Amino acid sequence: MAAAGNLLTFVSADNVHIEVERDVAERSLLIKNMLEDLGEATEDIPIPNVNEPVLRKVIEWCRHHKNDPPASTEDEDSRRKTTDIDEWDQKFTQVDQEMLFEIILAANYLDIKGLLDVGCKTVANMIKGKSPEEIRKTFNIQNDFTPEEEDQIRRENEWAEDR
Amino acid sequence: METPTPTPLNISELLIKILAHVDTLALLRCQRVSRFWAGVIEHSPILQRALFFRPCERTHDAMSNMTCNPFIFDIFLSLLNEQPNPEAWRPSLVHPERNTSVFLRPEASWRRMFTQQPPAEEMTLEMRMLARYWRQTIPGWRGQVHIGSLGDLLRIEQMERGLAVPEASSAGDHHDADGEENKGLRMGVLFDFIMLMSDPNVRCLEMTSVQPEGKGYGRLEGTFSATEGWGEVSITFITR
Repeated sequence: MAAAGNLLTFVSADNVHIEVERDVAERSLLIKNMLEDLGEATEDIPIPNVNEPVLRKVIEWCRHHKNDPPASTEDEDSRRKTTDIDEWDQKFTQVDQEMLFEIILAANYLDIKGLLDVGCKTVANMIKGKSPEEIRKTFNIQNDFTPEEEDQIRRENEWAEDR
Repeated sequence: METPTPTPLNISELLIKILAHVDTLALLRCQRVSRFWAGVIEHSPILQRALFFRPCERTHDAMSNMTCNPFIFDIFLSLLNEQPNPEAWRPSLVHPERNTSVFLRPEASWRRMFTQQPPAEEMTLEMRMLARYWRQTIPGWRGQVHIGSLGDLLRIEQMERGLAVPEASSAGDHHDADGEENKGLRMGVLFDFIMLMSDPNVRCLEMTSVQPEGKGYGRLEGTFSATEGWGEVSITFITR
């Protein structure tokens, strides 16, 4: 059992209490900053918007990555051409689409850059190599273009399909 | 109509983060998914730069990570070269397996793309024939550059004197339209430049291209034959 003060309690949106080691919880910049402001956290920490199964997944990721070097403030514009995801993270993201989306939203809310990146890359890999129609099907997106608008964008970009 | 549940795909900030990881071709396709996706891509400077539509700033980081447009081979080598026209310099645009009209539409988006990131600001045309050598540097941001047909350029007196680069017409001038920061050589300008050099008296023998991957350096090379013999032409565009 971790020493008192090194163990925090998260309360999920659906009101489930989950104990987390402080160093694991601090992978979230939101929590880290909050703890720094509060000093000792003695009370439960509510995590609204994130329900239990998602919160457990997020904690699982943070625990595995708790010794990672702190997220670099990498230039947003320096796009990594590779969408390499390490093996553990690949297994971690083998979840249904709804869960994957929930994890991304939670990582964004909790400000966990590494997890947000892994989630975004996973979705990016699902987009690659698909036609616009296949992308819509995969993610259940409505085609809301007027025929004229769609035709214009298609005419501008049709060359890229003829390769 | 019910409000859609928030997903990373309908929050623009997160959609940008996702699309920042897809390649240029996938990004072009993503514009066709929905109005929301098209709008996000159109208004995100990061994604516009990834599409080669907007110039990357010449930061130290960008200059050490130069990228060439992945479509440059398609447009300038395979399309122009598949069947070199034996009749004239004008490279043939007839491709046996391609619908070339799709490429040649004025609104085709490749025309707006820079050849590389950060963009090249100018191009240098060099010609060699017999003992003669001619070289001219031309700003690359002009909407249309036409300095004469290959036949004109080959006339000895002009090769010795050099040709003045004509003032760009304001109509097709990207400089005025987009402002200072959008200077740079776009593929449409380069393509038109090559087309405008067409000359019925000069035959194109071959077009070759050297474009080391990941470098802000492009070079299009061609060989030609005229009545006096054969020569070489190259257009170089480098990010400095």
